[in-house]
Amino acid sequence: MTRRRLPRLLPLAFALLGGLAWADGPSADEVARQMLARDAFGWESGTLRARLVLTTADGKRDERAFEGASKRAPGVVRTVVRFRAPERVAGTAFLLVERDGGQGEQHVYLPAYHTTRRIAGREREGSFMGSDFTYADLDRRDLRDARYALLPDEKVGEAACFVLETSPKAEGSPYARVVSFLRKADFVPLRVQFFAKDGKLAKTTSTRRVRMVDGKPVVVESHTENATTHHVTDLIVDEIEPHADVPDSAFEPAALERG
Amino acid sequence: MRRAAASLAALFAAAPGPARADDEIIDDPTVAATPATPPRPPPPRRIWHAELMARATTQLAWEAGKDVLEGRTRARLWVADAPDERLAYTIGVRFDALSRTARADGHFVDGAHTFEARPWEAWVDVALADRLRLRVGNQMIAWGKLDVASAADVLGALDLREGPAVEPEALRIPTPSLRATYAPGERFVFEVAYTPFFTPHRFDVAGTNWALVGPSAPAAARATVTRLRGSLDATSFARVQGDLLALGAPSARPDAGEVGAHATWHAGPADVDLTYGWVRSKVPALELDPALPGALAGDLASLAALQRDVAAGAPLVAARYDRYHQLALDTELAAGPVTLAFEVGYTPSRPLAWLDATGLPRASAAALAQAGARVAWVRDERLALSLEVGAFGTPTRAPAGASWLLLGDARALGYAALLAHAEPFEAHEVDASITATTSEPWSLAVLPRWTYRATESVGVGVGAALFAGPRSEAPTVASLARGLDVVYAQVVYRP
Repeated sequence: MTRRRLPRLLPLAFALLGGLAWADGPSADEVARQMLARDAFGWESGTLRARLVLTTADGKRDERAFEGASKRAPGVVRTVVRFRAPERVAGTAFLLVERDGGQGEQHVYLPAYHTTRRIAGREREGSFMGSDFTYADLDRRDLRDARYALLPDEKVGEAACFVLETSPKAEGSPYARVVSFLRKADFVPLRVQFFAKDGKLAKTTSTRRVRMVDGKPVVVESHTENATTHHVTDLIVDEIEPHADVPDSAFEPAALERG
Repeated sequence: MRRAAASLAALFAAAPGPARADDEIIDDPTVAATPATPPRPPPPRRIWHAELMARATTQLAWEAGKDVLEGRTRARLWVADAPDERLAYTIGVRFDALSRTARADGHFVDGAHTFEARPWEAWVDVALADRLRLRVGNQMIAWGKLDVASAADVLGALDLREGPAVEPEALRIPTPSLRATYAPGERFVFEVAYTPFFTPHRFDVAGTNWALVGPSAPAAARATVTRLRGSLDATSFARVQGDLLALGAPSARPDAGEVGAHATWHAGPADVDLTYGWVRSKVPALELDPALPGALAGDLASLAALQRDVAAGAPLVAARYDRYHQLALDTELAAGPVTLAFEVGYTPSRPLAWLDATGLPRASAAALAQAGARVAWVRDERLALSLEVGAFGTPTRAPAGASWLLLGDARALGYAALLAHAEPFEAHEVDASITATTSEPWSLAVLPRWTYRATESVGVGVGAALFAGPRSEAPTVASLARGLDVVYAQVVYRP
């Protein structure tokens, strides 16, 4: 299998790879480039099995299991997410297509209707399957097509971090800015703060567990809390299969129907 | 307070998730603690599904004070497995039970019970090559972008026995098919499908709320049967009814199948699809005994001939499911906050129904064009709105100076449908559809439904169907209230 540029496997995971050490302080653009390059498992294709654990402010929990598969082709990364449980959402599937240059598309398959539909622009601001992630978070266009600035270094726990401020260029972005705390040793995002258009903190994603997979650090559990509602989404990766042999045909809208 | 307690509990809890010994635990003191996630392995890939729905429905507007009471129970069991991205399969069965009775003059009459078990979705989907997939088995093929009347949905067979009140997952009928999908590049996808055993739409002819000659059927159809009942003796009418009831089950032969092809071009922000089908009409075109029209007109010789045909066992009504060619072009694109879809379709010749001078339905070949558009808006999965408008038209005149059924003298039919789904409160769902047509007579139908999810597995709901138009003089709130036609209560259980 030919390795090209580092592909993404699952945008939700904010997975980063181990990488370079910077002796004399990288620029904001360099940090951003490293962050985006490490927003991947580093494999041509792969699969994972994971769960979204949703917790309301009063402690009510809901869990949704899903599988993901991703594959890179020249100029495009495709990701399929299929929900397996609970029964009410089982069979619902998403296809996320990211093209170089910021163009992307999202499709959803609704098993009750046996139809696949595109997801429109404003829908990108909506909640993804009841979680604290938006559809816009999935394609990370707001992080890729943005202006970057480095804020003073900070620590998360004992880990020294670059603090990267990202200001999305796109008018339709739900965020005014995103602040990422990237561990200097490997650019793993230990904390990401999302600020709404009104400047207020919207939510914070914190990394809880990192696992070395195939020699690369991968975020396998993250914790996202909505700053207003205190709704929480824990994303837990149960199983990762790097280099999985996933056929191209799995990433067509028609293939979402396989459930 | 509860949140504080949960946070305290989390402080002393084990690390969430099926943590492995070599996982690095990130120590971020600012993380708001939540109860730990119980460790466990991933759920199995092979998943068993079950669904049980029980619905009781009654009529409130049956002619001459006659109500139809019916209870339907539907159960589906299926297993779905996807060992990897190259292979997936599902096997399922469906059971339907129907109990119905009619109430006339204060008495329950015509009670009947039916039960059927049939294979449901049962297919294997396999990647034969990197860009070639094949799916074989009993499957649903739903092409097209419109929800109400898609020109591209050429291979889909529908279950119309519950009319527009049907649950979406019960609308489509899987058909034994072979379907290949080939993606020669990043932008193009080509599909071909062959359905060797023709499956028509399913419908009830009589005796249920949404039967063709039931209270919710088009006025023209009900008038025809009423006239038929008045013109024939009891034996002949019973025979006609028997023939009508048999129309939903044509013989299945491989050479009577259908084929379709579907090409998709991912053109940047839009998908453009071209569909071709050499398919059969999913509703029957009726062929009547030659003596039947004359008999209905009161011609004694025709009546005598009709009685002779009945005595000889000749069918009074036969059904044809004629083949025709169908072309459709559709596109779907995201435009700001909405998703837009457009479709156009054309068939050079397909059977259309018309009423002869005696009021009986006939079918003749005619060209048919259709066009439609849909705009959809979804917000947070708690609110979804969709508006679809469309029109059908034919340049062909109906034979003998008659009018096409539904298309009328204008040879055109327009429709508009507003579909809405909302979850205004936790565990409460509201679905509604409002559909208007320009048919002759025109019609307006409003179908609201409220569902309460008592648990993650159980939902209870009530719904209704209100009509204005054929039954009422004007589309006012009062006329809709008078047109309250069907009310139902249901329970859905998905363990």
